Amino acid sequence: MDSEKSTAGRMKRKHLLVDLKHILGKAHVLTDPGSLLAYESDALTLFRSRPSAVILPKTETEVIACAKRLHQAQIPWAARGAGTGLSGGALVPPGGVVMALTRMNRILEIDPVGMRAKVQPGVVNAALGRAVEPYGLRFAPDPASQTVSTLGGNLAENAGGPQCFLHGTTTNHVFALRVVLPDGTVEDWGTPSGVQDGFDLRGFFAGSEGTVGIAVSIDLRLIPQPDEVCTFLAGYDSVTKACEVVSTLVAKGLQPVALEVMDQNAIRAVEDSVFRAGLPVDAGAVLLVEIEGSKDSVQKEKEAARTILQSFHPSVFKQAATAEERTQLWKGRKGAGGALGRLAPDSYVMDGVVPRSQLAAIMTYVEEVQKETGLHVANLFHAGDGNIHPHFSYDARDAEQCATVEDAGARILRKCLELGGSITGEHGIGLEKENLLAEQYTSEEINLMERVRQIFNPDDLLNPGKGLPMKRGCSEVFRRHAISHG
Amino acid sequence: MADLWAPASIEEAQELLRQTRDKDRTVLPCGRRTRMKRHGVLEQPNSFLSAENLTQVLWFDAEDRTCEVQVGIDLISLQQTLHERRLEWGVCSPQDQSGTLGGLCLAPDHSFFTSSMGFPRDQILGGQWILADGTSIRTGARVVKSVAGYDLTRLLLGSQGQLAFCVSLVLKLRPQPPRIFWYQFPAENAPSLPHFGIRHSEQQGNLFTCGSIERIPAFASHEISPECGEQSLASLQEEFQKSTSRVHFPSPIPEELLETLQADALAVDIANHTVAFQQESMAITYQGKWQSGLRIPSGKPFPWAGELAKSMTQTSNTFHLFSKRMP
Amino acid sequence: MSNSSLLEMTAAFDCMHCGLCLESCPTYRATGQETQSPRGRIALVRALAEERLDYADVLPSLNACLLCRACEPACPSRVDYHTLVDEFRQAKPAKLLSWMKPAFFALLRFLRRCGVLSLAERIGTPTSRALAASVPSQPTLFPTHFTPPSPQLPQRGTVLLHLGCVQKSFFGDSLKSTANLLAAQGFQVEIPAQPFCCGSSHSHFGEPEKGNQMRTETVAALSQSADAIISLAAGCSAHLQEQSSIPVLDPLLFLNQQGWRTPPVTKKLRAVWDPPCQLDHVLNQAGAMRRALQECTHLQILEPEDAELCCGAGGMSYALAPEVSDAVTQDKIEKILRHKPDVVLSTNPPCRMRLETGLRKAGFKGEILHPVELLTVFSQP
Repeated sequence: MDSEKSTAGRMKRKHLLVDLKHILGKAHVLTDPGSLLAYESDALTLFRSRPSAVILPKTETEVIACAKRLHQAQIPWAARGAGTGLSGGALVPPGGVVMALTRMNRILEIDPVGMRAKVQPGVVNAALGRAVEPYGLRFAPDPASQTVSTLGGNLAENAGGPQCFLHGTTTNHVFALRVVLPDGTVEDWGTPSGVQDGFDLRGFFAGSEGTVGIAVSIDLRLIPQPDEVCTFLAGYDSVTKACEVVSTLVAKGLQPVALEVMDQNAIRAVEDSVFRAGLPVDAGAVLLVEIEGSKDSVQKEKEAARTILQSFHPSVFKQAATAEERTQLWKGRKGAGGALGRLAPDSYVMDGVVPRSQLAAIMTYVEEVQKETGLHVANLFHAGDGNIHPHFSYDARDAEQCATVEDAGARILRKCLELGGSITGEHGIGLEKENLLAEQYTSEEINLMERVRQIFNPDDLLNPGKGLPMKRGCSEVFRRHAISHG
Repeated sequence: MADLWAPASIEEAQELLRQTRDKDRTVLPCGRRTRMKRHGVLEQPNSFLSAENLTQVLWFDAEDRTCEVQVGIDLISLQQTLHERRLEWGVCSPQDQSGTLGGLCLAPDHSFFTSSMGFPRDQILGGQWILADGTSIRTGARVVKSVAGYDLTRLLLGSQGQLAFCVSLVLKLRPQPPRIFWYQFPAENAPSLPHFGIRHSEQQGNLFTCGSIERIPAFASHEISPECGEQSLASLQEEFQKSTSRVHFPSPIPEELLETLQADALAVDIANHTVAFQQESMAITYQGKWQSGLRIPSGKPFPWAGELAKSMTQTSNTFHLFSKRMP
Repeated sequence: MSNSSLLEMTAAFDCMHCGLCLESCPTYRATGQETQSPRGRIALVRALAEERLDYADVLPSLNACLLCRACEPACPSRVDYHTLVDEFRQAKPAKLLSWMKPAFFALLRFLRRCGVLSLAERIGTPTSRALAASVPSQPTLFPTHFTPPSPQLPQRGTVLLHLGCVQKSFFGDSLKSTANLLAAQGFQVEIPAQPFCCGSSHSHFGEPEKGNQMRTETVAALSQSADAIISLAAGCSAHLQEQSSIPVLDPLLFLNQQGWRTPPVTKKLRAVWDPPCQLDHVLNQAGAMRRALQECTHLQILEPEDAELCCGAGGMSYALAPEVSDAVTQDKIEKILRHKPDVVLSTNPPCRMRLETGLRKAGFKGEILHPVELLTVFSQP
C-alpha cells in the first residue's frame, strides 16, 4: 500500500516536472542535487531545507501557468528573490518547489512626471536606483542588501533600511501591484496613483512574507533626490550614550533622514574589511546622522543637530566633506553585517524594535545578556527607528552555542515587547520567530490573521509555515543548521 | 428609523455588538456622519454605531513621537493637542476638518501632505478594533516599524467600516513644521499652468512635477507668517476659499517656475509646495498623469469584501459600508 | 583533494551567506541561478566537504565559474574566493591543459583555414562548438625568426616582449605591430627565447604546481635587465606579475607611462573597449588603461554598460561550461552593440576570440582588434 502510494507520488512528481519544463523550457527547471543544495537556505543559515525543484520563470504568463500547475499538483511552493532574506522566508518544506524570480528583472516603465516606476519583482533595488537617477529621482527604501536584493523580496518582507527613518519602509513606497494568487488567479491591488479605493490589500500584501501571492509587477513610488545632503559622524564612549543622543535628537523635533549607531565591535569589523570607512576604532560607539532637504532646511537642521551632538561631548566629530566620503561611510555601515562574518564561522542577526525613548534601556539589557552568556555581540542598528540589530558571532557546529544564541535572541526580543516594542522591524517572522509572535499578539489576533490568510491561500501551499505559527506543528521539517552538522 | 448608538467606552461598544450578534441586524460604523450628511447612505442600517463619544488621547510618548488616540476626536482638536507639544500628525485632510479621525482614516485616504508625507495610512502604526462579534483586537504595534504578522491595520484602514469598528489608532507624529508662507499672485491664464511641470522638466532636465490636485478645504489651522507681504491673514484665507483647485507639488517649487506662476496662480504655498488656482478643469485635463484628489467611494462592491467580512466576523450581523453616495 | 582539507579550507573562507557578491557575478547575472553565483559555489564546495554532495554534483557549477574575481571586492568578509576555485579544480585538472602545445595550435590554424572549424561551429557538441569558435577567423602565426626593427634614435630604453601561446599562435600580427610601434617610439625590443606557455591556465584549471613551474621558467627567461615586460594578454600579465620583479604591461599602458614621442594618428571611429577581468579585478589597471587608450587614440573610448562584468571567456571556461558562458557573452554583446561601434577593442586574446564569435553571430561587420592594431591599421601616413 505504502509503496503504491510512493510510486504514485513519484509519478505525480515526474508529470509535474515534465509540465513545468514544458512551460519554462528545460534550462529553467533545476532538479540536479547541486542546484537544489544552493537553494536550501537564504541569508539566515540557521534553517535549511532542500527543495525538490527550482523553477525560474521569465514572464507573468509563465508564473501564472506554473502556479496553476503547482496548485493542481497540491505541492508546497514559495517564491524567492536574491535569497538575502534574514528569516528563512524563501525556504520550502522537503518536496516543495522554489520559484526563483531573478530572471524577471525588467524595469517595465519609468514615469518621471508621475514619479512612479513599474517593475518586475526580480529587479534589484539598486538597479532601479541607478535607472531613475538621471531623472533626479530615487527609490527610498535602502536595505543593507540593496545592491543585490530584489524589489519583490523587499516588498514581501516590507524591507526597511537606514533612510526609512524619514521616508518609511517599503509599504509606504508601493502604489499598486499585480498579484498571482496560489491557484494562479491574477488580481490587481492598489491604484497607480497609490490612492486606495476600498480595502488596502496592497498594504496587506507588503510584509506578508510571500504567503499571500506572488507580485509579478509592482508600481513603486519614487521621490526626488534631495538638493543637499549632510552627513555627520560622531563618536561616543558608549552605546548607551549614543542612544541617549538619538533619543534627544528625536525628542527635540529634528527630522534627519537616517540615524544609525554602530558599537565598537562593529566599527572594528568594518575597519578591518574592504568597506573601511575611516571610523574611529577606539570609540565605544559611532552615530551616523544624515540630513537632507532643500539648502535652507539642511542648513537649519544641520546647526541644530550639531549643537545636540556636540553637547554630549563626542570623542570624534566630523562632517563628511565630499560625496565620496559620504558614500564610503554608508558602504561601511551597509557592509558591516557581512564584515562581522570574519569573526566567527557563523553570525546571527537579531531584529527587534523598541520605542525610541527606550533605546538606552534595551541596549543596557543587550549588554547584560552578552555578559551573562559570554557571546560575542556587535551592535549596528537603525537607532532613529528604535530598530536594534545585535549580531551574535558563533560556531554552528557547536550545538550548545547555537542553543545559547537562540535563547539570548529570544530573551532580548521578550525585553523589546516588555518595553512596548515589536519582535521584528524589518526582517520578518519567517521560520524563526513564529513562537514569539504569540507573545506579541493574542490568540484571537493570530487566529484572525490565519483566517485572513486562508482566504487567499486556503491550502497553505504557498510558502507554508512562514509568518504565522504552523498549524500542524511541523516546523521541524525545516532542519536546523546545527542538526545537519551533527 | 435607524438607532444611533454612541458608546462612551470600548466595553459599551463591545456589549452593543454582542447583543446584536445573531439577530441578523446591520450595523453601520460612523463618526459624526459629516460625509454621510453630504453624500447620503446607500442602504439604511438597523443601527448606526458612532465613535463620536470616544475622544480620549490614550497615551502620548512625545520622546518617541507617537500617540494613541480614540477615533472620535476631530482633526482640529487633535492637531491642537499635538501643537501644544510642538508635534503634528502629518495629515491635512481635504475633507471637513470637523470630521472625526476615524472618518478620515476609514474612508479612501487623502491628505494635502501626501507628496511629502505619504498617505494618511503611512502615518498610522496600529490600532484597536472591535469585530462584529464583539471581540476586541489590536493590530500593528506602537513602535514606528514592525513587520510582525500580517499588516491588518492597513487592511482595515480604508475598509469603510466593512470589517470592524475602529476604536483607537496609534499615530506617528512629526515635529510641528515651521511657519508656512502664503504668496499671492493674479489669477489670469490659470488653465495653462499644469503644462509648466512637464515643460520645465523637458527644458531644464530638472525634474519638476505635480503630484496631486486637490480641492480647497474649509481651511486648515496653520500659522500664517507676518512675512507674507501686504496681505492680511483674513484676505489670504478668503483667497484660498475662493479658489477651487490646488496643485500639490512633491518637490520644492524651483525659483524659475515661481516667476511663471506669478502670472497664473491664485496663491502659492511654498513650504508645502502647493499652488492654488481658480479653475478646476485642469484637474480633469491631467487625470492621466495626476490624480484627482477627492475620491468618493464608488459603491461598487469590493471583490474580496464578502469573504473578508465573513472571515473577520464569522457571524451573521454584517457591517456596512461606511458611506456610499446615493445612486 | 581530501574532504577534510576542503572542509578546513571552506571553514576558513568565512562566507556568511549574505549574498552581497551576487550582482557582481556575470554567470549569476546571466542565468539568475544561485548555483551560478559565488555564494552558491562556496555552499556547494562546503557541502561536498561535509559529504552532503558528490563531486559530480558540484562540478558543473564550479566549471562554469569564469574566475573573473569581480566578486572578491564585493565581499564584506574578504573571502579568498579564487583560491577556493583553484584548489577545487586540482581534483580534476581540465583535459584541455594537455593540449596547450604548439602542434595543437598549428592543427587548429590548419583546420580553420580548410573550413573544418566553420563546419564544427555549426554542428557538433556544445563543447566542440565552443572550442571551434575560439579560433579566430584569420589566425596569424608569429614567425619564429622575427627580428624587431632597431629603435628610432635616441634610444629610450629596452623592453622584453612576452609572446604567449594563444597570442603567438593566433595573433602574430599584433605582436609584430607591437614590436614596430615600440621601436618607432625609441625602445629596443628584445624577444628572448621563452617557454611556449606561461602556465596561467594551468594555475586556474587544476594544475597549479605545473602552472607555477611554467611561470618560473617564463619569468627566468624574461629576467634580463629591462624597463618592462610587454605582454598583449592581460591574463598572462596578471599571472607573470605575481612573480616578476619587472613590471608586466600592455604596450599602450607602457608607452603612455613613458610618454609618446610622436603621438600616433587614428581615424575617427566609434570604438568600444571591454576591459578584461584580469586587468580590472586582478591588476587594477582598467582605469589607467582607459586613460591610455583615450590619450593615444584621441578617440572617445566607449565602454559597454556593466563593463566590469566578464565577457564570458574566462580563460578556457567557455569550453568547460559553454551554455552558461554563451548566456554571459550574449549579454555582453548586446551591451557592446548598443553603442553602435565601428571597432571593438580587447586587450586579452581569449576575450578577443570570445567577443569575435559573439559579435559575428550578431552580425557585427566591424573589426575586433587589440588597440595596437588600431594604431597601425588605421594610422594615416
